[in-house]
Amino acid sequence: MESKRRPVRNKGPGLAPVPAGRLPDETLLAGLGAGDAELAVAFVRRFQRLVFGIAVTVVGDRAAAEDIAQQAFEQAWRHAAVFDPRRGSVRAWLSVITRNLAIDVLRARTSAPVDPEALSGLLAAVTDTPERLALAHDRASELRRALADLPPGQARAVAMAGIYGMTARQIAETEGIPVGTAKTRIAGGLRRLREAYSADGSSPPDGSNETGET
Amino acid sequence: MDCGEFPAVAAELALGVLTGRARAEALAHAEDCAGCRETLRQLTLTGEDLLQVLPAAEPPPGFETRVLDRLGLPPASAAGRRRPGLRYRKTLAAAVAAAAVIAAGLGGWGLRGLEAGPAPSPPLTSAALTAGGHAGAGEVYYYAGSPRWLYMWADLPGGNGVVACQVRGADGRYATVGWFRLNGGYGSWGSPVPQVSGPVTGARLLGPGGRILAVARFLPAATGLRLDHRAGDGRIGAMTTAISAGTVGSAMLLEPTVHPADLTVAQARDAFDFSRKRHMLLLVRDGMLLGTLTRDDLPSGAAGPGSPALDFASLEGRTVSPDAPLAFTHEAMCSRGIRRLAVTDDRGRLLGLLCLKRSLRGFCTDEGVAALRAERAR
Repeated sequence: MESKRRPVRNKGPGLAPVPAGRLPDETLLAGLGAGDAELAVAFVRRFQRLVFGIAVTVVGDRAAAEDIAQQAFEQAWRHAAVFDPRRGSVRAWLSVITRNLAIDVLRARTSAPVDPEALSGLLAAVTDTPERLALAHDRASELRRALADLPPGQARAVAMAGIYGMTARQIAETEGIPVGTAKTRIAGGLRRLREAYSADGSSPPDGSNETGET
Repeated sequence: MDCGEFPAVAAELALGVLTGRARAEALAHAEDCAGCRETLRQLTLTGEDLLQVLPAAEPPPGFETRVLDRLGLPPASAAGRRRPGLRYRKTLAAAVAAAAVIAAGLGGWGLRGLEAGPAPSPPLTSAALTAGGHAGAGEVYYYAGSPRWLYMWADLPGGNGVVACQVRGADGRYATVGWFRLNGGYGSWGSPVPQVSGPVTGARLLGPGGRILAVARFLPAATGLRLDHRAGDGRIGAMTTAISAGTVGSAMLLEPTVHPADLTVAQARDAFDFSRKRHMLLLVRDGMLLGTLTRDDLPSGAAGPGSPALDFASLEGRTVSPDAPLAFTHEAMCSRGIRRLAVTDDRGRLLGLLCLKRSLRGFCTDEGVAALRAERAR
C-alpha cells in the first residue's frame, strides 16, 4: 500500500538563510575581528567551552581560567586579521593561544606548575575510552587510545610539556628523574603518539570536546 | 645541529618548551632540512591535537557578556538589532580579505611557518553592491575555498523585509543562495554556496516580485582582488586610494635594523631606549626571523636582564607576506593599531619591514629612514 505521507517538497535551489552559528569558523573569526556583534557572539558561543576547558585544565582554578579565556578571545579579536587559514584551523589556533596564556599564568606562580594528583586525574579522564568511544575511529579516539597505551612515565612527560608547558628540567625536578630521562620521555612519548594516528587527517579531533554550535 | 641530533629536541621544540640557544639551533637546522622540518610539522600537529582532547568546560554564567564587554561590543541580545557603523563594515572587509590573503610567514602560531611549500590560497573576491547605478549599497565577499561561502552586507535606504540573494555563474545564469531580512534598510548575512559549479562572477539582491534591488560584479579572477571603496567616507577613501595599488613588497623597508637572536633582555631595553620611534625589534639568525619584540613583550621590572630576549619574543600576528595586497594590509593595521609588520617569505626568511607612519596615511621609506638617521647623527 502506498504511503499517504507526502514527500518533502523540494523548495528549489535556494537554501534558508544560514544562521551565524552555522557559518565556517574562519568567517566567524573575521566577523569577530571586525567587531561584527552578531558574528562575534556566534564565535564566542562556538568556542567558549573549548577555551575555558583548556584554561581551567592548565591553571586549575575557575577564576583565573575565566580571565585567561577572556584574554584568549581578546587576542583572537586582535589578531584575526592576520590569521592564515592555510596554516591550520581556527580551533587549533585558538587552542594554542589559550594554552600559551594559561602557561604564562602558571609560570608567574611560585608553586609547582602541576599537582601530581591533578595530572593523574587528567590523564585518567583524557584516556577514558568507554565502549562507544573505544569502537570509534575518529582522530580524537585514536589519540586517546594512543595516550592510554603509552608507558605512564611518557604519558606524564608529554602532558606536562604539551599541556602545562613544563620544560624538561621542570619535569625532571617534579618526577625526581635526570633531565636526560625527562627529555627522552618527551621525545619518545610524542613520537609514539604521532605514529599511532595520523595528525594530518582532515577532521578535527573533536571527541568529547566542543561540538561546534552551541 | 644535524639530523642525528634533531630528533632528541624535536618534541620539545614542537611543544614550545625548548628555549634559548637549543631552540635557535634546532630552528636553524629545520630551516635547512626538509625531512626534519616535516617531522617537526607532524609533531606540532600532534601537540595541537593534544589540547583538543582536553575536557571541555562550561564557563561561569555571564562569561559571554563579559567577553563582549571587554571587546566593546554589545551583548548578544542586542547583537541582532545592532546596525554596525561604516567603520565596522570596512574593518570586516579588511579582516575577511586579510584572513585569506595575508600569508603570515612564520606567523599564525608555533612553527607552522616552517612547513614546506604552502598550498596556494583559495581566492577571496569582493565587489561593491550597486543600486540604481550608484555604488555604496553594500559589499559582497566570495570565498572560493572549501566550503565555498559568501558574506555580504547591504544598506538600501527604505528597504525592509526579506530579500533574496542570487549568485551569477560563469554562464550568466543566476541561482538563489538564500534569503535574509533587511531592518531599516540594513542587513548582513553569510552562507555556503553549493548551488553553482564553476566560478561565481557576480551577485544580486531581489526584492518582492523579483525586483532587482542591487547588483555586484566580481572582476575576473586573473585580475585579482577588488575592493571598491567608492562607497567609503572621505577619510578612509582618501587613504586607501593613495595606497590602493601594489603589494606589501612594494612598500616595505628593504634595510630594516635587525638584532641578533641571542640578544638579552637588557640589550633589548637599551635598543628601545635608543629610539622612541623603535616599535619592534627583529631577532634574526642567518637571515631567518626567529622572533619579534615589542616593548610590551619584555618582562616588567628589572627581572632577568641577562635572559635571552628571544624567550619573550613572538611571531604571532606580526608577519606578512610580500605578496599581500597593500590596501588590505593597511586597513588591517589601522584597525588593529599595529604599525609594524615583519615581511617574510614562506620559509620565514626576513625580507623587510612594513612601517606604517604615525599619521597612518602612508608607509616609511628607506630614504626617509636614512634621512632621519643622518639628521640624528648631526
